[in-house]
Amino acid sequence: MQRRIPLIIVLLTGIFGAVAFFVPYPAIRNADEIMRNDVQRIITAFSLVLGVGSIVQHHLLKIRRKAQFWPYSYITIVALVITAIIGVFGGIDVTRPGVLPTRVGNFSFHIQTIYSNMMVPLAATMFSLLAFFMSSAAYRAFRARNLEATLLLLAAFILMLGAVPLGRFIHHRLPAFAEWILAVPNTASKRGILFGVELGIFATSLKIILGIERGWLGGGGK
Amino acid sequence: MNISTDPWVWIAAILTLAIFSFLYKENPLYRFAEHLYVGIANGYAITFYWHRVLVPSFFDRVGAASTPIATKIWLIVIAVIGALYFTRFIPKVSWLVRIPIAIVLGYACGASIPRAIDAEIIRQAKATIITRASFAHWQTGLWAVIILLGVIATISYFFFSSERKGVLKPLSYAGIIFIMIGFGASFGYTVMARISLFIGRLQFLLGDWLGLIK
Amino acid sequence: MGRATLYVPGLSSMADVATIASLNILGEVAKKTAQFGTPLIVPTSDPIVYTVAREVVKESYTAAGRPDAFHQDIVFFVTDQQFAFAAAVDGIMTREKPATNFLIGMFWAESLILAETGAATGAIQIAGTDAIAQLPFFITACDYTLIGEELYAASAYISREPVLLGAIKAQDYAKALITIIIVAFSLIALGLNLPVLKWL
Repeated sequence: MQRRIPLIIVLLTGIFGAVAFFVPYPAIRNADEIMRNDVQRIITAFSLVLGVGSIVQHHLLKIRRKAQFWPYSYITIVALVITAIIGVFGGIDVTRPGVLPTRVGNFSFHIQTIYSNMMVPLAATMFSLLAFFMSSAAYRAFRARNLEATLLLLAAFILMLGAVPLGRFIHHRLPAFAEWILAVPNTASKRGILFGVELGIFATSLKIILGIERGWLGGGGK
Repeated sequence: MNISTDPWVWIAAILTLAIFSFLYKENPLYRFAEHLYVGIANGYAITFYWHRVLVPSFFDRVGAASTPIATKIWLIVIAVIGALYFTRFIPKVSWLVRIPIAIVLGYACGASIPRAIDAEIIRQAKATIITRASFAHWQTGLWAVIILLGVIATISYFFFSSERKGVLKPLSYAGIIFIMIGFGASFGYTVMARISLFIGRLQFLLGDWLGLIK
Repeated sequence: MGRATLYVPGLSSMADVATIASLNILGEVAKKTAQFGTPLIVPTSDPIVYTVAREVVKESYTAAGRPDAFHQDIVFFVTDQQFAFAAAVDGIMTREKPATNFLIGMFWAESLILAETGAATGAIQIAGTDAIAQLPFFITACDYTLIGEELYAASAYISREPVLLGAIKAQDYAKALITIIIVAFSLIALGLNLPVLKWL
């Protein structure tokens, strides 16, 4: 029962998910809409409790065991609790304040202020690290010294040169050549890979729906 | 020079520098920013799911007098299914956690099947087939032929059940050449966008924070 | 004991088939780490993936005859925010210095942040994704990369189950069929000028 019931549910919801795509009948369309919006969103919201429970437990364990760099775990826990309290009780819309005041004099600590001034710069800076990591990755490819890596590097180099004025200065047709690489060989390889990927997705999905692939059930139960 | 007096700009600038310091090496400042980021991100996720999902999609609708009773029952059933995640903490009934997972997983797998066939495989096959219209100009026709050959070569590289010999050997080799050129093109194409992100952060530090540039 | 093995099952949810394929591979990796007593670290960015990954690893440790070695801190949730997750995993990579990093599943722009940091720590890196846009970065920064459908094939191959292995062969036939259709339809369209695109 512990495995059979979930497998039956997967089969039924799987058939529904596939059929809903092809059946234009309004009742099916509505049910599909509910499935995509209400069911998925509400169920996911509940699952977050497990996630937050896990990260808190992970850091509490670090503190208890006095693991390496354990004092930093306090930062995560305190930041999590304070942000959640401010967000949940202070409201998420600036125009609709919650029960908790989010301003002291001119200083606002509303959740959107925290989002804009802490989360956004942190995310943008992490993202921008890629500018450096791309250079080191390119150097790694350069050191590989085999035909495949050389081709990759060469195509990347032409694309980069094609996008800057220097490229036109080197040869007036270089930007057009860069565009050609992107439009022709790049499209061909992407399409070729995509066929296999989509077949893989199709086969794996089918195996899960039919209960052949059961890894997601984890252990335990019968 | 016109340094910002806004405490939030200072906080954002210090956090930006803390993350950049990772490029030198892992250090206490980065460690601080990293742990803070994870904490805030989770706190914000709780806020988001509460205010943007549970309240409007569940509590407001269940509480509203205008909501049909059938919808209310339906919403409560969904919430009960969602609450089954908590059974993970009760060993005797912990298997019930598989029910919400099965619903999400089954639907996602089912929905991905027609999408994979209809939206991806058929669409890509149609785009690859050469017609007389492809030869409206000799160049476009030639490029269409190269794409077709490239697609076949790339597909042949991913034949797992047969040994690479005979015609498959040169074909799959041509496939890896197409793949590597394609990857290089993607790589090069992305570099410029990433550099502009870095420039964006520099503009923040030198402009918004230090006031050195406008 | 030795240095740890880090396994990142991507940043997507269970709704992504790549995540499921990754969790299958995680099961086999966990069996090996259990056998050899290697510490395993599995940070996750989706709460449901965290739950399933935890069960998969637990089962692997039991299957390997080492249920005692499983502890609740092997698999943990970090955050569902993309770059906060990347920052945390970068921190783990540089502090714990795992000997092997597995980056298998669905990745977005954070792929190179993770892969380059891992490469800089000197770890052996095995990546796999069906996210075509991220493959160039894994190819350049990792020692081995499962390209696209190789991820699904590896997931089936590693299980050694005949039905799953049979599916790989079936996929090969499907690819052959697609190739034949593309070539045949092109020849028909060029030779007979028939509206083949409407047939699909």
